Amino acid sequence: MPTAEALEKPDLYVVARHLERLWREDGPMLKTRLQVAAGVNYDLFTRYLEWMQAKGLVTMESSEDGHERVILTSKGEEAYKKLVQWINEVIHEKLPE
Amino acid sequence: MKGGRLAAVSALILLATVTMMAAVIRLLPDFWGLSPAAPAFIFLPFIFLWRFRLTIATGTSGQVLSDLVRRLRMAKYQVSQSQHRLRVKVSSNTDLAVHARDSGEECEVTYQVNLTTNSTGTLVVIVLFTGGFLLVPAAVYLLIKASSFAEGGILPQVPLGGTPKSPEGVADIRSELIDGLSEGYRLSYEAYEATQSMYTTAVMSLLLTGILVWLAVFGLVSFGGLLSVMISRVIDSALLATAVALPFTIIPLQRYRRRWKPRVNDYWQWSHRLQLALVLEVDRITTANRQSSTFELIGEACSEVPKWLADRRRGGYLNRESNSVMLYSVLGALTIYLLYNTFYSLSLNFGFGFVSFVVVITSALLAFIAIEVWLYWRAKRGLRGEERTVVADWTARMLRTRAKMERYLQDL
Repeated sequence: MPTAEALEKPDLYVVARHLERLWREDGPMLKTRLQVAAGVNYDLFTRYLEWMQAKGLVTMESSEDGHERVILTSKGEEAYKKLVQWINEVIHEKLPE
Repeated sequence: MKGGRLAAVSALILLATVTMMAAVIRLLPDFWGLSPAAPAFIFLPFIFLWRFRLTIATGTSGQVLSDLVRRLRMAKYQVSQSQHRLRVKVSSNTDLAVHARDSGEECEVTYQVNLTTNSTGTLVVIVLFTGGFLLVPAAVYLLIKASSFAEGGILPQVPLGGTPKSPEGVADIRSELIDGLSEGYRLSYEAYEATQSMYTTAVMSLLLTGILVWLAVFGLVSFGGLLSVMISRVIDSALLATAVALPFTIIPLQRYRRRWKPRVNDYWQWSHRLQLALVLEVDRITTANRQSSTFELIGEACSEVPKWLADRRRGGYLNRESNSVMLYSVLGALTIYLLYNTFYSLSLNFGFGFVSFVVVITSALLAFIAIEVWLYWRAKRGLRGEERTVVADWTARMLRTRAKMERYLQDL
C-alpha cells in the first residue's frame, strides 16, 4: 500500500485505475463514486487526486448541490492512452515459437 | 516455404507416413492396399496448401490486415497476427490463415485452411481405422467448414471501401483495450488447450503403460509355465499382473493430477476472466463495481504470459513431453512385441530354453526403458533451458516497460 512518501512515486496501477474509471464516465464524476471505483481509502484517494491535479491529469468542478466532481482532462486521456498502448506492446511482443 | 505452408507440408508428410505404416502393419497383400489413400494425396495438398481468393480490398496489404484484425477482434474472434498473415480460429479442429497481397492500389485477400494438431490427429485416426477410405471426405468437410466461415465470418469484416483512419480519443483507447484483451485471451486459451491436451495424453500414456505391464506380466507368468495348474495359473497370473500394473498407473496418475489439474483450472479461469472483460469492452458495458480496471487486468495477464507460452510450447506438435513419451512407448512396445514373437518362434523351432528367452526379453525391456528415460531427461532439460530464457526475457521486458510508464508519469 503506497504511503505519503510513496506518492512521490505513485503506484502505476492505482493511477491507471483512476484514469480509466474517469475515461469510462461520460462527463464529471462524483468524488465518492471515483473513490469507491478506485478501491482505495479516502486518505490515499485524496493524495492521489492531489497528485493527478498537480500533473494536470484531472480537474475539479464544484456543482450547485455542493458535491465536488472530478473531470478527466485531455492530458489525462492522452496519458491513459499511452499507458494502454505500452502494455499492449508487451502482450503483443512475439517470442520465438 | 515458411509458416503455415511448412506446417501443412510437415503434417501431410506425417499423414502419408502413417498411411503407409498402416498398410504395412495390416500386412496388406500387395501395393493396391495403398489404393484408398492414393486419391487423398492428390487432393490433400490442394485443400491444405492452396490459397483461395476471398476478395479484393482497397488499400495496402498492411493496412487491410491491420484493419481486419481489429474488426475481427471486435466481432469476438480469436485472431493472431504475424507480419503478412492472420490466423483466425474457426473451431478446435480448424484454423484459417488469411493473407493479403499487394496489387497496385488494391490488394488480394486470400485464405488457406490450416492443419492444426487436432485436425491432423483426427485424420491420422481416420487413416488408422479406415486405411484412408474416409480421408478425402474428412478433408473436404474441413474445407467446406472453413470456407463457409471465411465467406460468412471474415468476408463481411474485410474493409472493401478502403481502410478508415482510426479516430482519436475514446474509440481509439477502446480498440487498444480490446486488442490487448483479445491477445491475452488467445494466449491464455491456447495455454489452457495445450495443458488440457498434455494432461489427457499423460493419463492415456499411463493407462497404456498399465495395460502393457499387465499384458507382459500376465503373458510371462501364464504362458511361461511358472504355474502348473491351468485354472489357477490364469487367475493367479491375472491377479499378479494387476498387482504389478496398478502401481505403474495409480501412483503416477495421482502425481499427474496434482501437477496438471491446478494449472488447467488456473488457465481456464484466466481465459474466462479475459473473455468476460473482452465481451464487456466490445459491448461497451461499464459495470459500477468492476473488480479491477482493464489496464490492470492486461498488466496482470502480462505477468502470466511466460507461463502460458511455456506450456503452449510444451504442448507443441508431437515433440513435447507427454506426447513424446507416448510415441516412444508405442514404438518401444511394438519393438518388444516383435522381439517377443521372434524369440518365441525361435524357442519353438530351435528349442531355445525358457531362461534364455526371459533373459533376451528382459534385456530388451531394460534397454528400452533406459533409452526412454534418457530421451525424456534430455527433452526435459532442453525444455527447462528454453523456459528459463523465455521467463527471463519476458520479465526483463515487463520491468523495462513498467519503468518507462512510471518515468512517463513522473515527467508529466
